Amino acid sequence: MAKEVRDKEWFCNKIDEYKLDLYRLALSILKNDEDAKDAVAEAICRAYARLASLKDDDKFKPWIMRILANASYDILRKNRNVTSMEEGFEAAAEAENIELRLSLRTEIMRLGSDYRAVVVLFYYDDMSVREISNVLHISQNAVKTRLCRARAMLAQRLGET
Amino acid sequence: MNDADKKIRKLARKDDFSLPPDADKSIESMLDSLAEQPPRRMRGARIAAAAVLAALMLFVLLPNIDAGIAHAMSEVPVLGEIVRVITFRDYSYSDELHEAEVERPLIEAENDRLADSAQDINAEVKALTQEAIDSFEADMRTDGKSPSLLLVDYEVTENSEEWFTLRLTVYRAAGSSMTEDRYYHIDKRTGKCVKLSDLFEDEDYIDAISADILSQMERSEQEGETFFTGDRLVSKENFKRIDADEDFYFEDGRLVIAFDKYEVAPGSMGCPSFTIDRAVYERYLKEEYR
Repeated sequence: MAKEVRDKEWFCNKIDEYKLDLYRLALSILKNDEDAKDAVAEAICRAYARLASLKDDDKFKPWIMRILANASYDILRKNRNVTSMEEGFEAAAEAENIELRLSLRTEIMRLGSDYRAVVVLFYYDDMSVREISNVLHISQNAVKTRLCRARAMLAQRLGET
Repeated sequence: MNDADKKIRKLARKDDFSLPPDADKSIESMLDSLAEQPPRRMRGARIAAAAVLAALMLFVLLPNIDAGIAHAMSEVPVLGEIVRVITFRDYSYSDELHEAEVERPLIEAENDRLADSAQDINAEVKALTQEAIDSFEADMRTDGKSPSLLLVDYEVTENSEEWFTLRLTVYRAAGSSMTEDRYYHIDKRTGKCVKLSDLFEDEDYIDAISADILSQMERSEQEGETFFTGDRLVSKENFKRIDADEDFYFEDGRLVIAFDKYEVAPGSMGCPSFTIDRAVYERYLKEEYR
């Protein structure tokens, strides 16, 4: 079968296929809708600019998720300079979400930033430890450790002790 | 898989996580703003700085004497009879965290009448790409552990008997990313480089075009897009009027004003551009462009 041409249409179709996964990962890292939208837009822009470096079409998802993770952490680093705003956001989110405390998504958002992305990629995107390690630029052992701790915290909060 | 895993996975499957409409809209806007073709494949392996410099000097010393040399180093698209563009591979770098690929266009005009304009554009392009390379290297030195990316690419978007347009795209990412599209035009009838202000008799076009862009922005905002207008984004400098020499190009004979990322809208809107109806600016045009 002839190889598909990687043009704008091909790229847009791929983004359409994975846009929910992209947004979810960005939100898990950044905890803020505006920042998550910026990170996804940023990742789309970066990915298109370097589309030629994608070696295998089948690896598009992990490839762009990695680009997105980088873009999200870049934004996170910048935001550390405005921690007071972030704390304010978290306090508001906490107050708003009391009724939803038992939902998985809310509990994931209550985890530390190191854990959220690992959990989302593992449970929502069904990625393997190796794939997560590649997307987030951390060792496989770090993925396992974070997953293990996050699992314990989630289990406790969801009543599965 | 233990019980906790099973339960979490089951809850994840049941979670009807959907994309918020404004996030969907933002993705759609970003996709719309992408160039019709992605940048070309980065060719060749990493080139040591010395080799690049040597190749560059060779090109400077032997411009266009040996077609074989030119072919070995770059693509040589022949675009029209009078103006053609050669790719200068200025700079290439790649390691785990940093990547740069700079392909600089070099305009060659066979007609002496166009030579000065070609030289002027070449000098501007060279200064811009060198500044981008210097900035990429400075970022690596000061913050070597953060990823960075620099891509410089170009496209000849028009090369007709009367008009030549070259678009240079500088994409840099270090922390946040910045995309700059610069457009360079030569009016082949006069042999002159053309900036936006050169099209018009006086400065009245600035307010006319600005007002039209503002009203296009307001219409788009009603459909959920965001621009730096009005009082809503007080922390940013809101758009009021275009620069006298704002970037522009012609598409199907219609004037398009092109902004850089962040210039008039949040980063999620990409590089916004606005097509201006001829009726808005026609009366301000110089005679030769009417």
